[in-house]
Amino acid sequence: MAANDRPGGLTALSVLNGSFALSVGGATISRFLESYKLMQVLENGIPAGEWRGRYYYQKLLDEGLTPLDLQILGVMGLTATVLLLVSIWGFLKQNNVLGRWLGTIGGVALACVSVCSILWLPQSYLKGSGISIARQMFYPLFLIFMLHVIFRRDFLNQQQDLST
Amino acid sequence: MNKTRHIGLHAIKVISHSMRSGSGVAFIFLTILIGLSLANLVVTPIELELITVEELQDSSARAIGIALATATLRASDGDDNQGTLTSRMENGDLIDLGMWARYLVIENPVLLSITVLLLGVVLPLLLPLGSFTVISGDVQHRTVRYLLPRTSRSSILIGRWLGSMILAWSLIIFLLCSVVIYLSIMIPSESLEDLIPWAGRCFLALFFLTIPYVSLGILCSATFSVPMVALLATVGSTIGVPLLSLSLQEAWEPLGNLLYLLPWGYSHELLSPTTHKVVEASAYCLLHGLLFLILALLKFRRADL
Repeated sequence: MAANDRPGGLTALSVLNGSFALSVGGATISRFLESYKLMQVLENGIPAGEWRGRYYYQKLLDEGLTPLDLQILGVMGLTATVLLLVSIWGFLKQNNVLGRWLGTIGGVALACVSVCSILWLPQSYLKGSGISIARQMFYPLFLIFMLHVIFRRDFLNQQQDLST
Repeated sequence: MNKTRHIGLHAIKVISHSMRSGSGVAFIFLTILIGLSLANLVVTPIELELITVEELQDSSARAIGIALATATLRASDGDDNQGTLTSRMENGDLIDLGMWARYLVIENPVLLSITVLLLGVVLPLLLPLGSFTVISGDVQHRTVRYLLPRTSRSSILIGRWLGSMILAWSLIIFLLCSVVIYLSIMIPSESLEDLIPWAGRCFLALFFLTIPYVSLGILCSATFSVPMVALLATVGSTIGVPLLSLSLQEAWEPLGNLLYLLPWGYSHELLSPTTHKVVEASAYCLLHGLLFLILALLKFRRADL
């Protein structure tokens, strides 16, 4: 199918997917770095003197967060990033499995990352209110709605075209 | 098939097409995201306990009072009898404005009021995203020609105008519902019994505010055959009119009335506590919308498609 036959909305969704994948990817890298740092803090204690992360890591310890929790968050974020990035290719090719289903799983993973971050990370670290989380949850819901309601037929038609 | 049915069909088609097009996805996504961000901006200080609801009511009453005074008193600066701020104070106008600010932030849920006031400023800039391709997209690709043997030009234009309106209203309802549900759960002082009637009133204000701006988008879409030019013209005139009128007013007072080319000059009165002012502002919005729609119809009827 030529690029012109692809609905513009799918191209726009792939751009949005890319930007969300990048932002989750950035957060994922920081989760892994934090887990490494938290391991060091647990082994050696909080370093003496001026240290920028003192308050933050103290807060993480107070909340009872372990490096494993941060690594789980990191792995979830990594999964969401990879799924969202791969689904871009599926959107552009209008592939039912790579686009619609991988995009759906990516959206669910993105929502799970947001929910687990709310549950595990200290409130002050989330730097905002619950409505900012509602805002973060909007994209996964929007993505799933678009893939399964608005663009469903485009993916299925393309699959039929390929099989005949 | 009768004309009403044609208009309905065009409206439904434009909604489904908008949701499938790139600009439509961008419009829906940006409107919801920016709307929730504005609500977040208002709610965050309360949730992080940086400020209490009472403190917010005090400070916002003052800020909204000043904003309303600036918007309302400048409207009749040219009137010699009421020219100075002192004379307006003597006439009791400032007391009215104080009551107005009080009505918005003390008598009604403050967080919702501030969110809607901010939406009133931002929505005019977002609404063109949902309407700039409605006519120009088809004209640019010459696909509108295939419709013309089966339907009239006025049905196409009115149907698409209606579809764009319904999409914009649906987004506003979704946005207000999200904010109301969130506030009722998270902020104990904002009860659902207060929030629902006020949200309905705010929706009515935004409902009327949407009409002229969507109609302006349709007018630009019918005037320019290139969608990006139509978008630029709509956003440019939406931002340009207030900037131009405020700067030209410095040179010659009557030029300040250019502000009334768009609803910027009276749209704040849609949330006035006085019913007749609300009715007046709503009627002006309808008239503005009707004027833009008639101009778009005239333009589209004569256009070489």
